Amino acid sequence: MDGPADPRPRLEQTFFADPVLDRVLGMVMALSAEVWVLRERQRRMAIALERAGLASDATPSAEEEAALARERDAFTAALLENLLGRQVSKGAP
Amino acid sequence: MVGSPEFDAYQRFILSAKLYWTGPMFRALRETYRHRLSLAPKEMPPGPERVAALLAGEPDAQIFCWMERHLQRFKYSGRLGLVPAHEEARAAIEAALNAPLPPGLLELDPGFEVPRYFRAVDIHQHPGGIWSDEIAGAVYERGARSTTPLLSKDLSLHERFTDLVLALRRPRRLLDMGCGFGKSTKPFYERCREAEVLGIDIAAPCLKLAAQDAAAAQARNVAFKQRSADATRLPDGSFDLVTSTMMLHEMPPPVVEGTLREAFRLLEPGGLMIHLDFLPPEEDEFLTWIHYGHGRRNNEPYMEPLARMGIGRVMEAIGFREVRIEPFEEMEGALARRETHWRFPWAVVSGVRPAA
Repeated sequence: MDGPADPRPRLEQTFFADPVLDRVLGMVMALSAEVWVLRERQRRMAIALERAGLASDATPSAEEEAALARERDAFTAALLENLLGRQVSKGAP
Repeated sequence: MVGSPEFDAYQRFILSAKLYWTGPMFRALRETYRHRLSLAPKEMPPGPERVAALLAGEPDAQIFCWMERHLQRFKYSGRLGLVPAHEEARAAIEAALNAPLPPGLLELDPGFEVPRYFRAVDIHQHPGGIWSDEIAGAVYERGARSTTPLLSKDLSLHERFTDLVLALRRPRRLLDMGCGFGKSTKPFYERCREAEVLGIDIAAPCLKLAAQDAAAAQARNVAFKQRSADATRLPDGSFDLVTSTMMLHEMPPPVVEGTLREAFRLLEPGGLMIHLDFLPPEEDEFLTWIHYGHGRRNNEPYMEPLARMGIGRVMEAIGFREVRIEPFEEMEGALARRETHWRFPWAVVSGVRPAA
């Protein structure tokens, strides 16, 4: 039952008619994650600077954390709602 | 690095995206399915195969499936994924895992051969699986915090299962099969101080973490051993309660059957076996289709075979009585949300070894 392992890399699963779309969407999501990482870092630095000049270890308050979470979810929604393909204002199909 | 601001921001984004997939994307797909179903020929037999046919080529389905597959990949393997982030902390994690333990708390088997079915795929899309790397248990523990996106802010799942079990049986000797890194075992050894609790698993990296966690909690009524659930090498009738949590769906049906037989052998007469796992609701072809696809997309190939094997009949054939398969509500109001949010189809499977 224990045959030799296949050394070749397995091709990733595909879900679209054109597998290039699978790969490009992966790149878009990777870039989106990087954008959010930068945005969150920038926001936290702004909080720290506002508080005490250069205090880089300032921890946001619970209220500020909640605001950041709302901002993150809004960022995610604005990004991913494009994939739902629904009209925001009714028009011709 | 784990715990760095970049890592945390990245993982929070992935979780946020998973929540969007769980909610709006799931609802969009349901809506499309219902529309397609309303146009379908009446003679199409119901079942997950019909859903697959109705949704073939549908952008909502393609997007939903892509997101399910790849958000999990990003969680583990992106630039700030769990695996590379833990790699940077390897030395510290290994030192913590190999810290001295009280005698008898952990028994590993250096000659243990991890079965082929567990090595054939990297379960949960965790590169290398949860058994091959010394620090895989620590990676898995961090990953498990967001396995079920809706639960990310409600970690009561294991407590709720423990509540349910203890309402049925207050154990003297409990065996937790497939205990992993001990998150299912902990509520039992903490809440049943008078009971002897044993956790077994095939993955040494997870057992090491479970034992360290128990040592930190100063638990004196628990031990962990590296054993297969279907061949424990433990004495007949040595437990009055046998449990597992999210184990059965990781085994092919012959191993599931072997495990049920082993549980029957290990139980004293009148003893209770109870498993928490996933079985899709048969009456809902859409959720069943989602669940079967999840098994493929998340590298958990035995989810569908478990659902199709007729586990209740197998248990009765082995000799279990009072066999029950019931939905489980992993968080308050979860069952009511199944129309609007993706969730695992949690189910409790239980049976009693007859007294005589």
